[in-house]
Amino acid sequence: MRKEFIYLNNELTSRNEIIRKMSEDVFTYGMIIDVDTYVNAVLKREEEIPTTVGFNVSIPHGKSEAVTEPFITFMRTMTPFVWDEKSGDKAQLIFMIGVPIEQKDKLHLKILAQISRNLMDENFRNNLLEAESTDEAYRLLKRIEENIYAEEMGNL
Amino acid sequence: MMKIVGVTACTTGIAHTYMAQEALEKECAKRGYEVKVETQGGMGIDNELTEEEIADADAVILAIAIGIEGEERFEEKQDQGKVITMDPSSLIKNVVDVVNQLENL
Repeated sequence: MRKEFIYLNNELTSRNEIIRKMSEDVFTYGMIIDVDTYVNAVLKREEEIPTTVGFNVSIPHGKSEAVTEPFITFMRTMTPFVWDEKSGDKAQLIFMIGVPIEQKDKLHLKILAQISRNLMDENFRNNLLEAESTDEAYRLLKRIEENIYAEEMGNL
Repeated sequence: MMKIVGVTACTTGIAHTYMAQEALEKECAKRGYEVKVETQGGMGIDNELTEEEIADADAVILAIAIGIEGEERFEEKQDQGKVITMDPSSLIKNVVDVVNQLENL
């Protein structure tokens, strides 16, 4: 989790623009080697089945050869908007996830799984909706990561 | 007490598998039901169900978007009409209704 990958009160209201914007930033930090390849994989998945899960949350993601290192980005938009035209499903909290095709590092997957589980928790979602600064949102997400690390250390 | 077991698995094995697990566990906890959810995702199989746990269950939910390992374990329950199979994202969105359905099998 990087602070640079947290976007609060963004004014974009288009699924494709949001995915592209975040992917371009991820590219700058080197977790993907080609923006178009990754974006296309994510959009393909959205076209098959939208990744909205209710509660105005969507989790666009794709396994792609363009991803070299697992990552997650988080955007909170100003207001909920229609994420998927076909279903009319809305989103305001958007978590974009990337994982390499061959993912050997289980720890990263564990963190992504744990963040996914936390999204089912209303308090966690409300905290993210109410976070007043990028730092605050970062701490909320970072805490999950730290808990997983602590757990792993305990298991050694 | 109602006992539910389930398996969750999505195509990429990153997010929906675990969200569906969490949604089901939460809803069952709310109702005071016993629940165990096996996940087949990017980290492999976690929380694997034993033959005994499956045999003891009142209802089974397979929230799977892909073929899973050991699907034959549920054949007997299938024959008894005690299995619901659906997409993990539908379970996440409709968990209350799904647990109601499991109750009424």
